[in-house]
Amino acid sequence: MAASTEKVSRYTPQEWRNLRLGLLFVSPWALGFLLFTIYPLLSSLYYSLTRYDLLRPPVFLGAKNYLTLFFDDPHFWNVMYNTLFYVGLSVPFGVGAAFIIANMLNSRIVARSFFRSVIYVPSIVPAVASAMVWQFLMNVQYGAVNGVLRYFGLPIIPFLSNPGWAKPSLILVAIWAQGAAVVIFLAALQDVPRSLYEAATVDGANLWHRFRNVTIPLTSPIILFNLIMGLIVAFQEFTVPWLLTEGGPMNSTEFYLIHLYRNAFEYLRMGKASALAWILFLIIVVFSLIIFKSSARWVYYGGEK
Amino acid sequence: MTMQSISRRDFLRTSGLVAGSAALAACAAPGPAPAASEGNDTMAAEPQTISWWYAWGNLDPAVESISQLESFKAHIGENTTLDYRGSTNNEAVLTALAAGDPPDGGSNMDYPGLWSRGVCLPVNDMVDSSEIIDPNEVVDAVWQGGFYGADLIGVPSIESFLWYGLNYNAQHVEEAGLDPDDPPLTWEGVMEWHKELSQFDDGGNVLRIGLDPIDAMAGEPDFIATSYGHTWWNDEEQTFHLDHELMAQGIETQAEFFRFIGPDNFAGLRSVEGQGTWGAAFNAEVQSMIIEGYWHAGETTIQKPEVAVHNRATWAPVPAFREGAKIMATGPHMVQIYRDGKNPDGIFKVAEFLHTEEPLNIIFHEVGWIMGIQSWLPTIDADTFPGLRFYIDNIEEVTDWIVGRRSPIHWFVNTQLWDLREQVYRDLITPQEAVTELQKRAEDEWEAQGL
Repeated sequence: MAASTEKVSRYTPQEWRNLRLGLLFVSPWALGFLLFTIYPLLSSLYYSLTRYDLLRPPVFLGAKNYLTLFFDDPHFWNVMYNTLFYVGLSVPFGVGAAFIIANMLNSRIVARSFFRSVIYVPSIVPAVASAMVWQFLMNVQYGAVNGVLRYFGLPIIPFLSNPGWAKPSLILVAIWAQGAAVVIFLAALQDVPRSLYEAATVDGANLWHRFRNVTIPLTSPIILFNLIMGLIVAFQEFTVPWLLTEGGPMNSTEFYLIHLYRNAFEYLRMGKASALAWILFLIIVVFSLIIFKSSARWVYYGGEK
Repeated sequence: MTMQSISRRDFLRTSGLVAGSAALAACAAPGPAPAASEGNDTMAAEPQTISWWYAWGNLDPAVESISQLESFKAHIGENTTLDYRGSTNNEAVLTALAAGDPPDGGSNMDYPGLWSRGVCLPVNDMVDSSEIIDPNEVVDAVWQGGFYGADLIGVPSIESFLWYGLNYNAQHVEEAGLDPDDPPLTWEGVMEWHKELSQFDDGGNVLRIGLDPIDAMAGEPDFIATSYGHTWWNDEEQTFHLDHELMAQGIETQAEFFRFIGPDNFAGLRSVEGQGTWGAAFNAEVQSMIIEGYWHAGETTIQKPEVAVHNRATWAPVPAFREGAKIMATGPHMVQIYRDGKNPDGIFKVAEFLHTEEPLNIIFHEVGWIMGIQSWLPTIDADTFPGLRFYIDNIEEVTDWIVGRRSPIHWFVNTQLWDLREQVYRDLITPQEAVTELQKRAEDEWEAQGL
């Protein structure tokens, strides 16, 4: 007791006042965090262990929802395949495209500001609007792309209505919408010291060598950042696939969040949907950890470990 | 005069206190009502709201007209207003129900699903004490369709009549060299029309389809089962039998329609804006036949009169081995009253009023819908909308009746049927495998819902 009193008495009355005021001023955020983040988080963990349809009290089931998903859900593994296919291609290609575009926009080209704006536009256009535009472009009957193909007597491409084409088409849309990543890369590229390029040139490095040995290492922390963010966003992709294909044709674009949404709101399986959410959380954590672990080999922090 | 400086800390402390006091004041319970609001007269004048949500997007103009009727205002109370909200999807209602703040009533929702989850009030007592609603006046199958066991789970109203017919565009039929006065009555005959009516461009892309075999009512399990003479849902025993040879045959028949057009073509056509929703392809004239009910005649006339003038209707198809069977379904739409709603008596009054002549006429003329009230039915002019006469004149000839959408898992089975049927017409599984899987999924769902 004595020790504890002694510990408490380390605070002066002024420090206590400061502490109280500090807590008072952070309380709006803290309350919001507890109510709107921590509480739903823990609730969903609990609900994932129950049968819950929103309208009746939850019934505790233990791990049944998780077991059902892994061993008895006719769609789960197909959904996993679809999602991993989408993430596996859209993220690296998206980040790669963004990096290349940023490099091009960082060079001295005509109308550079105009192109920078154009590239960023997809990021500020609402997803619904851009989905409608892609719908008009890729529709098998009235789409502009197929209109051109048809005009030249070429076979049309069923972008969104064929199970084999639907996923690549959505990946194309994802790659197109990389404006935010481009802007972040541009900022990083402008931070690369000119002296390094000059030194490399003096040493006889050509364009590729400078890109490979100066640009990439010095922007690798940003590549890591965009990779992680892209991964998180791609695993949670919902709006564009839902608007363009609603998970079809033949469930070929039934991505993880669409499946989660169906379970939650079409089938009223909130318990199962919560379990899906937690599995997704773990998947994203695992992938992020793998990338972080591997980053020690390829991310350069200016000599720091 | 002394200048007094305020430190940043003092300023922050004072503002914190002021903000905290303001927040506390805002959260405080309201004080006693002003004296002027006391007394019976003023209490009676207190404004009330009745909230009613429904999924239809085309009912709003009629409800607006009804809510302006003096008789309606008198019925619900002069200071009461009806707050209606159309195009309200299931998710919105579920969220409101789950939050304990639902509207007073809802329509065109998953009636049995909501009832089985205990969120609706039984309305037996309200109906028994009503001086307006006469159950004997309502077509019996419609009225009985509102019961689960002894409980009436909503007030059958708004529109409830005949659900199945093959509606076709006679102009397209004539242009294809077919006889619009001799429509097909079997699936085999409809397939021949389908082939003749469908149009493709030189590249094989579909321009128009004869029949989308799962558009509107045709997509539901009740329809294909009834067409093939199978009853998948046993209402008395609350059991289901989807894994049945006749179900498999029905799915295979529908699959043939897809294969002729091409599954990708079908998906492409339905994904076009304005062609993918219920019945939209018929109105857009890229589909020549559609299986749905009597409302098709009125809705098409109101929404697309230039198409509706060519509309005709006949019996929904059955397989050749059942030739001569005339199938029909009915069932109620209802106003369901939600347990946690604030004004159950108010929403019942709305439902009650919908049984009177004025709203029946308004809904008929402004939306094209019919409510099966026996004394009112003869007042309908069957030629108001092209194609409507078929439904009015042929009720007596029906050989196979079904009260539809009775199962608590109806909508679940419906979504799974769509999923599995696509696998069939893309030749990934056989129809028999589809119905076996459908049965399994339905059993799992039944258990998962704790039914």
